[in-house]
Amino acid sequence: MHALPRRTVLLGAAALAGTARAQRTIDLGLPGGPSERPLGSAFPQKGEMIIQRVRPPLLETPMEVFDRHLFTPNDRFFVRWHWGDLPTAIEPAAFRLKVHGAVARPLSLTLDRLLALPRIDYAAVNQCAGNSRGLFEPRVPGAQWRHGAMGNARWTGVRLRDVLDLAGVRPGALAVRFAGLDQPLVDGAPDYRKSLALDHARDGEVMLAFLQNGEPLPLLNGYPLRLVVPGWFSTYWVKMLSDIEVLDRQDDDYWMTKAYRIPDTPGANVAPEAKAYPTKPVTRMVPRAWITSHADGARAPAGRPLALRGIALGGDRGVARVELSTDGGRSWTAAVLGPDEGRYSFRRFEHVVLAPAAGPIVLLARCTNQAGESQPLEPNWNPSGYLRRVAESVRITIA
Amino acid sequence: MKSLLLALLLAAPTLPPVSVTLPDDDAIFAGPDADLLNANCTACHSSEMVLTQPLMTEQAWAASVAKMRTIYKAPIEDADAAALPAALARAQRR
Repeated sequence: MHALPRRTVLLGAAALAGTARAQRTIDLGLPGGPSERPLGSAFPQKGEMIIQRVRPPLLETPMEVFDRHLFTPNDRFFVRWHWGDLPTAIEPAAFRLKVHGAVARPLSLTLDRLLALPRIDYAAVNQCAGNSRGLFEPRVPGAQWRHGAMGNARWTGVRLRDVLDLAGVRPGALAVRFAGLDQPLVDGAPDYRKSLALDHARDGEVMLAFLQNGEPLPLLNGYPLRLVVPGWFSTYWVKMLSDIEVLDRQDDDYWMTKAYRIPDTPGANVAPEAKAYPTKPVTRMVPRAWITSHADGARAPAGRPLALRGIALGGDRGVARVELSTDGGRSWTAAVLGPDEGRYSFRRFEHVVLAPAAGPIVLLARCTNQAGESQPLEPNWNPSGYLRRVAESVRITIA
Repeated sequence: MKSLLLALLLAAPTLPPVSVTLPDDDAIFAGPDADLLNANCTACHSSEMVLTQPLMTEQAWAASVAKMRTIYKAPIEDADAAALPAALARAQRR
């Protein structure tokens, strides 16, 4: 044992303890690769996840979870942390939420005090701005997600507006900035902070959530409190929320002014060679739909009805309709929608193709939201891999 | 069920203490550039942040190293910063 090099010892111990990198792998089908990722259940309060990165954790939800569950189980909900100094123990009695800045009464709130405020509850999808980045062509650097950097949950919490009112926002305030307990590992690196315009922060919907699907949040999803900004990408849904700062100026922080920005162009689309174009922060989500009943490369029996199903997201509006194509987008048929769980939730869709043509076919799903916004058939592109919106395709063979 | 859970929480409006253990990060860079890569990259993130990227040119890796140094304040010496782009490009092509 003493003669073994350190690497071997580590691998041996990991094999016994259940390593983060288990034996099972999944091929994410990312163009040009590398496409294979480990599947593993070694993360606390998490079942089997696609392990994109162990440290800081990037865990993706396998598509089969979305096929089985309209509300993503907490133990399969995706995980994304920016910085490595991440608390692994939370003592709620000692936890405080600071509210400061341009307020009449700076506060240090206990969880008991927060939980005594009136509660609200709604379903909302939390989706990474870079969800599906691994499918961008030409490929772009960053977390190489397929479609699983998203999840749908019922969130229960208190209104941000009520918390701001406790502190008394001073006249002239413009924005509210949020930070969590996670910290950079290196001195001088930009702490992860995000901000919302004051009117948005006070809209009565933005929530400090302490329950996810009726249970306390998994630590890796932000226990004990996370901001919920329904309809907006998860970059704003600050986890382990511990600090609320009311600003009397625009936020000039790195994470708002340099990172998480998209081209200020239609569809956040630019040509790969484009250099000079205006940018703006990525904010609201757009309609998307995913066929979950069939994976790329699946086979379905000829001469039998083909039952298709999936999930759709309206973005910051409800789903109005989902259309399916079995001929690569030449013709479309309206799918049957499942129950409406609210404008920010996933919505199920299904459709039975009575007599699918034999041979290879290209399935497409396209969501249109209540504002009439739909999905293009050509992918958008930007150098950060944000806001993918194309109607996704699945290639199967009827035989 | 949900209302029952809410009622329980109202009765005892505190959340439980939570303590977790994150899995060991057992993957490090191997190969001829392992020392350089492990010394400069894996303090902040595990090796798959590099190894899951699409194939990137040395020039693209140089931009990434510059971002790590200037924005994320990675303490990388000049000599190592000069050697890293080629080493990163080699690491993802092995």
